[in-house]
Amino acid sequence: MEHRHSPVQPYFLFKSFVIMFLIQAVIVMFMPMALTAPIWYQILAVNLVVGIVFGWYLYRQWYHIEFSYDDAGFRLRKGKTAPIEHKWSEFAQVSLTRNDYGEFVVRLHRNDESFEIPASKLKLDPFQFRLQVMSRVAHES
Amino acid sequence: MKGRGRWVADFSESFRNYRVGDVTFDLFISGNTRVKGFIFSRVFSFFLNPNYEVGFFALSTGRESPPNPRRLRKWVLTVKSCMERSNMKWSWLVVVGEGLSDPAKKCVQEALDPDVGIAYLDLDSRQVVSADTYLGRQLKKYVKV
Repeated sequence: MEHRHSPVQPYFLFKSFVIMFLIQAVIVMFMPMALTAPIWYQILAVNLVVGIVFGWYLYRQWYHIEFSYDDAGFRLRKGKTAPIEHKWSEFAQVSLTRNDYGEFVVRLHRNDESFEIPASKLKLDPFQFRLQVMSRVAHES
Repeated sequence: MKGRGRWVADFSESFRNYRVGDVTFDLFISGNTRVKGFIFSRVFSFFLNPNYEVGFFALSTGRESPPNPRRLRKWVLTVKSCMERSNMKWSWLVVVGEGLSDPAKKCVQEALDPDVGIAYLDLDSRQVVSADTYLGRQLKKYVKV
């Protein structure tokens, strides 16, 4: 049975919106005052709408995380980059890590390499998810 | 687990059933002695705390395999190999078991490796025996049953 997780991350969505809004704000700043002053509120409204639409687009392109897994392996995709697929059997150890931002990451180890699944960003219970991953890695290896 | 914790290090990674060769530790956590936090904590930590990588290993043994010099030496060597691999300065090893014989007690107390603090926690008598080293004595203060 395949499990899918791709929750919206409000922080990164807001960040994308702010980026798009600021780009437009800079453009407006360099426009002649005589042109923009009479339609100040209309420009602000357009900027907000465009910021939301393009912010969503930017979020989907760069930040959105899609994660799916089943008994055999998993697939992780960030933004529109190529998805990364691995089998559970490729890994030997599983650890739970907390990064500087207080987010939990389930780290899969093989030889000297490791691969991270961002459990907190995916809104997964990191402790339960670690146990699930451990049982899959132990079962497959 | 209950009660209050006491800060010994900033642990950031935990393993369960951590296998090293033919030894499987029930728990292995690693971190360092630098406090993470907001500006003041970081500045305070930067000037006062050493930046050492540290580890904590926990191992449970049954009644049939209490610590003896040979087993303890094997566990300590395994811990030391992990320390070497991760550039750790200090480690703690807690062995949890049931029943405490005099030879086992003596063997733990005489484990005098200065880089590995060792303690044996007897669940039957709720007694903690530690190695007679600085890290071992400190560990005895932290571990409560």
